[in-house]
Amino acid sequence: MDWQTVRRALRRHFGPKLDPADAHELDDLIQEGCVRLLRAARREPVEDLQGLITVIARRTFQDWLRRRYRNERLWKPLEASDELAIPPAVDPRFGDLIERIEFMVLEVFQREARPECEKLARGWFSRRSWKELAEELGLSHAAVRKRWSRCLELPRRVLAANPLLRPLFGEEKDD
Amino acid sequence: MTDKQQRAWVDEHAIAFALGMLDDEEERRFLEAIQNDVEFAELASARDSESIGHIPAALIARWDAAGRVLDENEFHLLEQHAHDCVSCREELELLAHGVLETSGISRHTGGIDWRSWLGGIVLGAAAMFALIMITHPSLPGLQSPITRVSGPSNSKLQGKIIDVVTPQAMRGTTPEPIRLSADATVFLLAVNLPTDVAAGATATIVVFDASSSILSRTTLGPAPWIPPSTQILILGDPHFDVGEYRVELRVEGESAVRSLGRFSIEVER
Repeated sequence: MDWQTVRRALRRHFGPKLDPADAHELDDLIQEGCVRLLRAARREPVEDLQGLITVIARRTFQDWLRRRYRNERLWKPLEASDELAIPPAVDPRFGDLIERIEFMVLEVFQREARPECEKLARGWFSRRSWKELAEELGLSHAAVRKRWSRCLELPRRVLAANPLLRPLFGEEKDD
Repeated sequence: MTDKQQRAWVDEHAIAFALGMLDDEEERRFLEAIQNDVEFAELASARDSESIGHIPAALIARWDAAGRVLDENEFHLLEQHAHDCVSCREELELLAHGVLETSGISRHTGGIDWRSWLGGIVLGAAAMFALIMITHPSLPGLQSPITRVSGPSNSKLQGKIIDVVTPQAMRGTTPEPIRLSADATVFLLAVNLPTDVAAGATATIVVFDASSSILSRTTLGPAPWIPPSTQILILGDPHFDVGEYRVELRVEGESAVRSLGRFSIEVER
């Protein structure tokens, strides 16, 4: 793949869409588009590169916009003042907060060799229902929910150790 | 419940829903509430399971900055994943956020978690050669560099302060010697790669020490290497000899060897 060409094409897509105040985001958005393109190319052979770049660019930009508002909504309820700036680590430039949390949960399960928990996490994070997962595992709905609840104990401790994420779990922030 | 109240309820419960922490009734309520919610409706849509469990693309794209901003535990998990996951590592390499070649040092130092030291490194984009000198095992142990990078000098990695030095040179020659402490056993060398290599060609970066012995050999993936296309090499030796070191690029299919540069080392005694 000619990455110079890809980068030029992504620049052409993103440049006109960005508000002047966000112009500094351009290079990072291009980088993000490159990563997504590489991931797409791994999944299946690229037959129409220009078409794929167009799709990737559109999705990358939409996701960037969405996570900007989503992260803000996830953070805002925790603060008494709406004017309090969003903390750097919740900055949407670093990705969707939910996606980051899901990644951490899965990574904890992998590091701690909890394959059953990892399987459940992958199923739930793929947006499958508990009913589907219960059927797949041959367990009752209640049993799956209970197992998942136990699985979450460890990642919750890890996540709660992060002073930024702790309040997202209903715990007090550090002063 | 007003729309505003419902929106606030969604905001407060979104993380819990994403983690499967809501009970069945709350879950149904959440899914109903987000049907027309631009920011959260996606949480109800099926997702490709292959895309799950990898470092989010946005984080890979901003890896250097993430290393400085994110919570230490979170970034440690990301680093560990990057260390073990071939595809995420390939993506970081694609964006030149720390391409590592550890074979050159493993025989000397063994089993060191180099990547955890490298998470926050930012190399000056204009640097043709950026040398990051570290000593082992007692970090930090840097000697005064000849020339400092204006931007990222004194980069803080994993709570340790290191210096980044960049000879002010165009690709090719470092004008002044790099001064190493006598106990230095490792340094990192960042080399900008050329952009005129034929697409698909593979190449090897070879570093020769002062006695013209091969100190390091690093095989690159197929060209082109997109900007900033900086290949970071870790060079290790029980001790570094005084003298001139050479860096060459051997491109598959090219008869001539390309010179990427030279640098001299002085060792303080």
